[in-house]
Amino acid sequence: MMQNNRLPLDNECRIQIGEFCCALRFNADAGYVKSARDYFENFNSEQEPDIEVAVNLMPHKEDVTIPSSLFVNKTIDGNSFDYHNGLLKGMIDPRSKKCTIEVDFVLLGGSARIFEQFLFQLYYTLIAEKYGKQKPVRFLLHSCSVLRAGQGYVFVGPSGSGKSTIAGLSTSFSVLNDEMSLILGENGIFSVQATPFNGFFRQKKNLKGPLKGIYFIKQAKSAYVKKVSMHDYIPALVQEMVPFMGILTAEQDIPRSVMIERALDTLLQVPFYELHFLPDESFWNCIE
Amino acid sequence: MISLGKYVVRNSDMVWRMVGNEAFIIDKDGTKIHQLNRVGSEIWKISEGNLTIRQIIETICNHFEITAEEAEKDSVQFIENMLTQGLVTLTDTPVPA
Repeated sequence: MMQNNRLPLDNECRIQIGEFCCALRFNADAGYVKSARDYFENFNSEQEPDIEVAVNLMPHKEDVTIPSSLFVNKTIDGNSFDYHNGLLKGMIDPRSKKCTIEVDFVLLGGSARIFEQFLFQLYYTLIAEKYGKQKPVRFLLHSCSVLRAGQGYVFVGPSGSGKSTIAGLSTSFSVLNDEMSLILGENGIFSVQATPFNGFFRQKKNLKGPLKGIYFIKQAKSAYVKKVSMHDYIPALVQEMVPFMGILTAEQDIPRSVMIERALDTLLQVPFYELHFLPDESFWNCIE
Repeated sequence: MISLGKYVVRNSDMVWRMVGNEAFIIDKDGTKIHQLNRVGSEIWKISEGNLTIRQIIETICNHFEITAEEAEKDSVQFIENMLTQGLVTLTDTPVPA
């Protein structure tokens, strides 16, 4: 990516998500920009944006409940989209690198984790626009990722399985993220990259490294690593992949077969194990 | 007993990859994984809907240098198994490419 001659505007927060720079341009109080830059600390970018998102904040309607997922209840009409009956709506044209949204301001405060799901879909939109039918291996995975001695380790598990615990126990190394990692594959070589998501976890390092192993985690009474078969863990990996849904992709059009292909390609190339761990650092000895 | 004149075609809903000489096949829900041996993988690869079972048997016989009887026994058993599992279907005429 070429260095940008235009630095971020005062009302702009540019975020690096994988290989892309996404610019959020707030038509609102300067405090929102500052909060966004702070939330995405270490991932603020000065690169030329791959997409500019004009963010218009809307007052919160008291009778509206903030949902837990932006992957359901979305309507699409041409280039327009609407999540949860106006909670977040707008238009996007990836080709012209423009997007405009109106969003309930609550989504940018305490419910920022929900707003991030819009950014997940924005990322997949940019991937589709850039690569078209090539379908490279690029996917977001609910996981904790750590770089240790230049090698990437990814720890996968559902909510509550201990990803944040592992991240907290690994801060002497480089924790890329405690919740969301980016997995990339090129010609059979896999790597893991940090993502800006879960800004509440402040120890993230914006780094990337070769993927040494994937560990499906379970809290246990002793620490050990177990070799497991693909039969059980393809479904588990697919379960933790962020659905390949762009902003203009309907829920029923999520390419599940492509997700399965990516999971299979990943586990065919990257060693994977089941990691049973205690709430202490001993699991690193097992991994080594 | 299935007719050897039927054409065999892979189920296009399956995701599959060759790793060396072995095929890994996953159903569309990602919940069931089949790992085939060398003979099964070869049959799977060539089941594109343009070969009859008889022709597949001949291919296997030549490819693995086994007797025609062994090739027929192994191939028919395998294809029947794949049919039961929904991995392939049989057609009376070749499937266009």
